[in-house]
Amino acid sequence: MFGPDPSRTGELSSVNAVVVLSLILSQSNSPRQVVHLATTAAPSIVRCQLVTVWHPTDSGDYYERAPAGVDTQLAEMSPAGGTVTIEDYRFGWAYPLTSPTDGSRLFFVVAGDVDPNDEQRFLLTVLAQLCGTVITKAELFATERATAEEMAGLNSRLESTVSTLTKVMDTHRQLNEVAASDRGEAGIAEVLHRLCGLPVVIQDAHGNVRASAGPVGDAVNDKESPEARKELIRVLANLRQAVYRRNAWLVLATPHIDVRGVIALIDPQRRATEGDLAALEYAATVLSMELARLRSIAEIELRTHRDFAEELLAGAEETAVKATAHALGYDAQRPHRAIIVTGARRARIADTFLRTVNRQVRAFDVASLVVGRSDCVIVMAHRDIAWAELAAAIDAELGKETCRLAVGSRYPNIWEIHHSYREAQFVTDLSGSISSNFTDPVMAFEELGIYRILSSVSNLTEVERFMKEKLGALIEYDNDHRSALVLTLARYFDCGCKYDETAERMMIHRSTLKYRLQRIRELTGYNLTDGSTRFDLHLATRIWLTLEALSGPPAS
Amino acid sequence: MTVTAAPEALGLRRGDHICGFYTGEAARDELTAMWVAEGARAGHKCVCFVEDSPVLRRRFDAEIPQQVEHVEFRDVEDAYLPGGTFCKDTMLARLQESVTEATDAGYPGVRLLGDMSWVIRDGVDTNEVWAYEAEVNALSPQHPAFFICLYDLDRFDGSLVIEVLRTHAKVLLNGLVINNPYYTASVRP
Repeated sequence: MFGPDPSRTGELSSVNAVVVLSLILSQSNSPRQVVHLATTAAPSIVRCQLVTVWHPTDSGDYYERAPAGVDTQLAEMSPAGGTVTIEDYRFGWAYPLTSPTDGSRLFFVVAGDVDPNDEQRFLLTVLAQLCGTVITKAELFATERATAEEMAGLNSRLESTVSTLTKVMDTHRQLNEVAASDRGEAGIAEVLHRLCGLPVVIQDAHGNVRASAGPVGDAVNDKESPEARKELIRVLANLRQAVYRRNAWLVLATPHIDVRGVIALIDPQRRATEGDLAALEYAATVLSMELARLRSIAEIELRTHRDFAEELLAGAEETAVKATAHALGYDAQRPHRAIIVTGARRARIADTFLRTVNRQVRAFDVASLVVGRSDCVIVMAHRDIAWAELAAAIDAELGKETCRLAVGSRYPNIWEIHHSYREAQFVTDLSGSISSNFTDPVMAFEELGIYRILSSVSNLTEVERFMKEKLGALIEYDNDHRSALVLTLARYFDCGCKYDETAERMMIHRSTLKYRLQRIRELTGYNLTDGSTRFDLHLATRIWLTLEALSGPPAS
Repeated sequence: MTVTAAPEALGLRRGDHICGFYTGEAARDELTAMWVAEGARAGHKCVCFVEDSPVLRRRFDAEIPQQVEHVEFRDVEDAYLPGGTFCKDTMLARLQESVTEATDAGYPGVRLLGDMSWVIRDGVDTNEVWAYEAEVNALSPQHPAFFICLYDLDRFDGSLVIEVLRTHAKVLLNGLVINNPYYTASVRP
């Protein structure tokens, strides 16, 4: 009977141990774990004292640099492995951990005092190859995982970018819809508030609130000083992006150098995201478009009003301007009168004068049609007030007493305003005449007396002949000598033939007046104390003043 | 791959003594949870000589709320190292006692699961441990129970793994049970 060969049984046991150990190692993804298990298991399988993994030149997480003397042997080692001389050990074997084509120079090194037999070397080769395979697998796995993580990162960033773009597109779409609708500034504020979840305020350049959305509180009404506001507008104009001031993000909307608005995102907690600020800046662009549109409408409306007013003053047919009045929503069927506002001695007026008259006329709510000319402003009043108060208000705003109002008669509707305008023109010319004795700031056509009658006479030939019969000699004398005898006579009668009052009104000495009257008597032979003569001459002087006014403003 | 913890599907029979390898606590908890949850659902008594884990408790509460009473955790220190030392006879008696209690209580099967990480502590006589494991092989076939010993590959070195393989007939590895030829060879005369 032969029992089993003990040496063969031991070899079989070692083979089985390596087989099961290989199964365990092959499940691992950790090179460090595999190398540790393999190198610590090897002495249980093969008699040896040293088992390690070495690299000829480097050390790493699970291997060490070979000691001096061994490193050169490993560097020159055949890819198939072989014996290696290690100090203090009788034998040494180095098994490459990976395939010969791998390029890596890791070696599973075993050393001891008894040289292993062929089968034991085979088992060590298996262990080494297994370690190499697991290491390669783990490195591939790590590479794949890194690639997968990189892909996941890229996907995540792509998703984020797409999400951001989608949000931006949605923001633009909603704000564009507002721009295309008639929801105006309030609509812009509402949409931005909805998009960002923060209160929104739209202000003009001076800080006045034009629209808001969300719980803005009272703080928005706390306006900064004009200087601070001006500086803020300058900063916003320079930076052209959202600026954080006084608990809010601000962006300037500037469609025109004269038209500016500020859109504000109230954010005391500073929680606005980049997306919110991008939405704010786009909202500012849409607001710029809206402000430009409003300005354009205002300009068109202004031009239309001006054209309408000019046509009315020119006496256009009712049918011709009726459509315009309707389009403007103007109530033409109200009594109207024309008022001409002039400055000192009908001098050329400045823009300030026009704006002042316009503002005061609207403040008194007497007219919405106001036309500026080079030397006057024409007001088409639909309501009567104490005109002296209007004149006083204009003077007060201008800071000087220069304003004169020539008031035409009241007509039943706007279509007849040109009649009132002509009357006001007559009054203006009459008051502007060097011969006129009118000094009040307000002169109404309806209060002109004989002038009013004379101005309405259609054929002035007989009237003029009468005037020349009476005053011809004096007019000729005045023309030849650049004197003022006719004016002196007119003032003398207007003042009730009183020397002192006449001299004072004319700002001349009493003796000068008496001299002029004596000269008048000498040139005409009139007896100025005769009642009939006095009436004829007084009437003649009024005709002279009327004709002067009707002939246009004097060349002063 | 669908992983199952059903003994029949894994080719296990009552009385089997198995070693299971894992890497890291998360894998240990996953292995324990699968094995215990499946056993509890099958109506088996499950005795865990594993560190009590809130993670495992939550999983059992969620996955087997009706059968959680079948699960019992035993303190590792008290079970394996009473008085700070390991005694194979004491532990063997404890195993037998656990199985007897369960069968007396009417459980049709018992699953005993122990984490053996304590073995690598200083002062533990590993020869006593391997002797214990060898005697479990003699004990286990006498009972309607599955005996599973868990070993962490990050904690045990290769020489200890070889000893584990020498004392367990079957190896639970990555969801599969392998008949261990090294065990067979080592115990045959």
